Amino acid sequence: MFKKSHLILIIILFILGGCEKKEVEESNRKLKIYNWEDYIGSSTLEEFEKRTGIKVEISYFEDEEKMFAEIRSNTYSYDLLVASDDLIREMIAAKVLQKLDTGKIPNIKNIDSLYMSLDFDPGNKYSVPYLWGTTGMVVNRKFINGRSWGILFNSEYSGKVAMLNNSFEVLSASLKLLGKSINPESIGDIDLAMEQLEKQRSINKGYFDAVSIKEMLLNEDLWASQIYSGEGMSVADENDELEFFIPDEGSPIWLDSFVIPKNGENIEEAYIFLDYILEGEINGKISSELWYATSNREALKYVDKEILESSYVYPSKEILKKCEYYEDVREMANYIHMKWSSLKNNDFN
Amino acid sequence: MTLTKKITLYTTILGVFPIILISLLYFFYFVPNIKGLINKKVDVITEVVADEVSRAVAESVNGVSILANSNVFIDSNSTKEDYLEEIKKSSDMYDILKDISLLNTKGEILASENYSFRELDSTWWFKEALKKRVVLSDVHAVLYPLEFVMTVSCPVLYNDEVTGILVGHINLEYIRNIIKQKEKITGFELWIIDSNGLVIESPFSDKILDRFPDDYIYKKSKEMSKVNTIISRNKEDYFCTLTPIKTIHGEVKLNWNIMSALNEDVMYKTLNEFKKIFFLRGLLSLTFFVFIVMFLRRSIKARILSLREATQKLGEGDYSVDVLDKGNDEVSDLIKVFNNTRLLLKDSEDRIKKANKRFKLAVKGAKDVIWDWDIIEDRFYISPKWWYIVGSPAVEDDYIDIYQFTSFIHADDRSYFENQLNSYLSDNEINFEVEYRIHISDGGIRWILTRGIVVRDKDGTNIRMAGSHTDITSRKIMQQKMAFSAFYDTLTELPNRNMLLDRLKQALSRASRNSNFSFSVLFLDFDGFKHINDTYGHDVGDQLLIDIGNRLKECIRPLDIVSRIGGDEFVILIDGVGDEKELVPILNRIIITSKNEFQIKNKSIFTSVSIGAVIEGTGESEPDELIQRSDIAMYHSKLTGKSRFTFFTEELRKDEITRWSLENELHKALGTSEIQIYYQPIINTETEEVSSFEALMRWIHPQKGVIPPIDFIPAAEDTGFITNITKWLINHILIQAKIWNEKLNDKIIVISFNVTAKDFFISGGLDRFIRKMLEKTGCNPGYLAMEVTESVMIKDFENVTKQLKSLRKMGIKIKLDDFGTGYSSLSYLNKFEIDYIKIDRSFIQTITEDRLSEKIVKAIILLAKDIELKIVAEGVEKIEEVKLLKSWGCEFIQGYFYSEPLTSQDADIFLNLD
Repeated sequence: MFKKSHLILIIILFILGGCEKKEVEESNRKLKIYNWEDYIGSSTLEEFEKRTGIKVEISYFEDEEKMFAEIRSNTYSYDLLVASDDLIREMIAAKVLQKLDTGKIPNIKNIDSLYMSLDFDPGNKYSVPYLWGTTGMVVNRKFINGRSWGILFNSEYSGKVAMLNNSFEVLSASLKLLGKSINPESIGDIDLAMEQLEKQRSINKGYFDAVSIKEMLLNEDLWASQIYSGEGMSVADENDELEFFIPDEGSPIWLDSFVIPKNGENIEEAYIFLDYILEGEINGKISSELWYATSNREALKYVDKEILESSYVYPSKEILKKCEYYEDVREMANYIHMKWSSLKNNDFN
Repeated sequence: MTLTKKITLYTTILGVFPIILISLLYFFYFVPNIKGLINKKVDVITEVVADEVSRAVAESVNGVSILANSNVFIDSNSTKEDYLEEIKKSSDMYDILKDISLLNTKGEILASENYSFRELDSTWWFKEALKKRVVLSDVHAVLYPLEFVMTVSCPVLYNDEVTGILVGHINLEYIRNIIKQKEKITGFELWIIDSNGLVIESPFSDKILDRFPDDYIYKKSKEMSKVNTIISRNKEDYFCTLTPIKTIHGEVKLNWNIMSALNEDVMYKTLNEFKKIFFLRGLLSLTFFVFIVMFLRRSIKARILSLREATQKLGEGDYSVDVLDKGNDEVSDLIKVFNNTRLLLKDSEDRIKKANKRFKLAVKGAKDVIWDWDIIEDRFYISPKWWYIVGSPAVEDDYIDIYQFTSFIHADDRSYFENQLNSYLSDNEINFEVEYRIHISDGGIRWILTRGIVVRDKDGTNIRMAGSHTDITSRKIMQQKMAFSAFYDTLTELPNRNMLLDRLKQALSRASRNSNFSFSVLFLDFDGFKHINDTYGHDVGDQLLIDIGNRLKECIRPLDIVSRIGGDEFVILIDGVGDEKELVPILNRIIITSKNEFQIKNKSIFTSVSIGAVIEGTGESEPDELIQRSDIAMYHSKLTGKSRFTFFTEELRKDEITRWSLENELHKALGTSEIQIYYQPIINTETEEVSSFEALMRWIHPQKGVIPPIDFIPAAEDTGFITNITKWLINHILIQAKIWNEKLNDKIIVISFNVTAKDFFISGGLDRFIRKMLEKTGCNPGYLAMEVTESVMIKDFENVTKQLKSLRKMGIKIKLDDFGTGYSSLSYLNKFEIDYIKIDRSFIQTITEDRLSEKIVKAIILLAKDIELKIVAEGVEKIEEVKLLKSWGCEFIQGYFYSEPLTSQDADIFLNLD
């Protein structure tokens, strides 16, 4: 009898020991995300960690092109990336993305069908839509009037204007000012736009990421700059002199999505996160905080009224008419890149 | 148990047992062995493919790194156009490379063929190249136009500072073609899987750049380990062999695995067919066997019963019973014997006589010696055959005593024999069997197997013993030979690698048990052995190895071992010596004794030895590791001047650059002014004018001074770097030939150059390369001649002949170099694709003194004229030699008498061009 109870005790100890070990393993799970700075809700990750026990390591990039080069060359490995529509088109071609198993993301049903199956990823085989926005301008009304891209090319404001560090955004501002589409129809269009940008070099303070631009605008180091709508709206909210707008000539509109790179290591965790971020409440909170429009139908219920009614976060049809999506420019992209790298590598004032 | 039951039982055992045995043998020995052989073949082919792929990649790595050494990139006066021109020159030379670009250290493009690089500074390989390393990237996409490539990045150095990075893409299509070609030949599926587990190349194009579908292989390819396994696809089994490539060149890594897959049904087709036949036959023979057993039972039982009855009667004294039987088998025989027994009993004496006679006949006819020992009387009968074996006259009455017999036995075996015999006689064993040696009359030794059986009386006393002696000498010799060649090198009779590994294992386990025990491993490589072999022939080389082995044995204690593990490489294991101080005298002894003259076939031969030493005391290493470490140390001895020893240290291993130093330096030197081309004039004896030049290379090393080709070409040949040197050389002399011939309008100047066996394997073929370079430079092929030695032609006759034919068709002349030193088979001369014969300098130098040389050279010249080949005599230094050669009709002369090798500027003067 004594022996028997002994044995049971041992078995119980074993089971308990097993449980404990399992828990430890659970808490070792992690997820590596690569994103723009300030492009996720301030409590989003914390809540995710609390809920799932998965530790999130987040890194930030300032230049999409560099991020793509790092992924393409297998220099770093991440489990989740945020990328814009035109970049995802290239990533798919470069075979760096993993095909998604949408069965593991039940909340994908929350995405508005307007944003599904766009031409950069038909059938959403690789990407899950996140936020969308436009690329416009912020101007300090103390110093400058007007609503045109031309402000950035005006020598009166030399050294007080800046542009985003992104070849396509910079080119499209110049193209728009020339009255052309952001999707150049010929090499000739590119040459004209680039020539204009070469001339602007002496006026331009530099090419920066959106977060840096925000700071410089607040310090009045800059009076006007190209900027993404979310950062633009939020900076305008902080300082009444600053105004964000979509220039009269028109702007690009874009959609950012989540993708899983092929060299990711924590794929199951990535799926858990995707399903989490597609929950209406979580997603709605992010949109309110970041001043970017969500692609999530369920989330709209949770977005602040002020944001929802803002004509620049959720633009009116009238404004949207002026905007364009980036299309596939394939052969010309190489040419653009070549011109861009020589433009960028010249000294600024 | 009744007899019939016994028959059934025994026959069943006898019949079924062999069948079981054969089946076991079949399944446990035959099938695995055949499978092993087939698998091995797959293995080897996979390795060949891996080798070819890595060679192709290595060539492109070499291409970029040679270009990176170009002076154009560090010249501050160079413009973008200069860069681009230099780049274009290189990319024309290498099909496998494309879009070579020069970048500054920030990753900005300075010159590029088509700007397919973007944001390079964010990639790990660019960062590595900044640390002065040559690196290969993973396979990645370049966009617009979309392509998948691998990038070679190589630093451009100026004063040991990185001033730029040269990058180039490796054309995967090129590697794909290699794989496709091999697939066609072998019928295997071939895959390339990289160390990320991604498919780089596959027969299924939709799988490319996805993770490898099978988890096990996926995991193993990430580990880069060699694996043989079976995976299933579409319900069919495939035998897969994964072979990693890893290092391709110095420190450059190519993290690829080659995987071959072969449908098991196809692979083991013959074996499976054989299996079917085997089973069918087994079944048939089993059925047949059952029938036979049943028949036997029936036919024997009845007859045995009647025989038993009659025998009972005979026992009672009734001799009248005759058993009737019409059969003609053994039972019938038994019955007949029974019937005859009565008659035989009557005439027993007659019967004994007959039996005796029969015994003698048997003894005479037997192959073995028959013996019969009356133990009580100690009379030892031995049949006459014995005396034939020992080779001494027979004793008269065939009887000796036991001591006389044992005196034949070899002293070392005698007590063994006696012990065996005594223990047999005292224990109740059934058979006596012993093997031992005997002396025979001519002083030799033979091996004897003795079998015997003892007869005991009722009390158990041994009274008689009889048996046979068999001569098993030839079997023993065979056994010894087999054991010897598995563990000994047949040439030097020294232990071979197997034996060495075995001894190392023993020593290691001793060291791990006993912390006080340590031992040393010495790796020896004889300097210039290859040269000796080439100069004096293999007979001399082989004898030298034997003599070296003997000398080495004298340098060490008998319990240490000297082994030859291949070529001119020896490894010595010194037991119990684990202290450098103790080891140094032994090392010095070896070095000194190796330097002494060797006398072989009346020739004095000198060599020296480079040694690497490792001391092992922990017992935690693997035997192979010890050999490898000592090899590394040996290599260091070689590099630091030969004829010395080096103790292995971790730094030596870490310093991979040292290991590749010569090659790396050569690498760096090529394309700079360190390597220079000299031109030695060849004079037409009729016109006394220059008709051609032989291009010779010299390496002017900043520290070591002038290094002649003989010191760096063999090393470059070993590593395959030679092809880059040859390519470089050809490029230069084509340009030089063009320049000279454009300036001279009244005659043609030919430049000849030397090639090695490896050069014929330049990818696409040497002939194709030369054709391409001719087109590129616009040089007339008539300005070119190529010098090839006989051994190169014979080594790979078909391939070389094919290429020589196509070169001659282009108009390039071929010269047979060093004639007289190699095989010099005259019967081959008309089979070679050649235009000239160059008589080796060793003959020319003795024609004025040695009658034999004179005759040989004269004969060669006459013969060459006969078969319409032209003659060049090289190494001509004296006027007497010139006179003699002219008088025999030698058409061309090269040597110091006319001119030493000249720089191109001096050659201009020689040609009256300046």
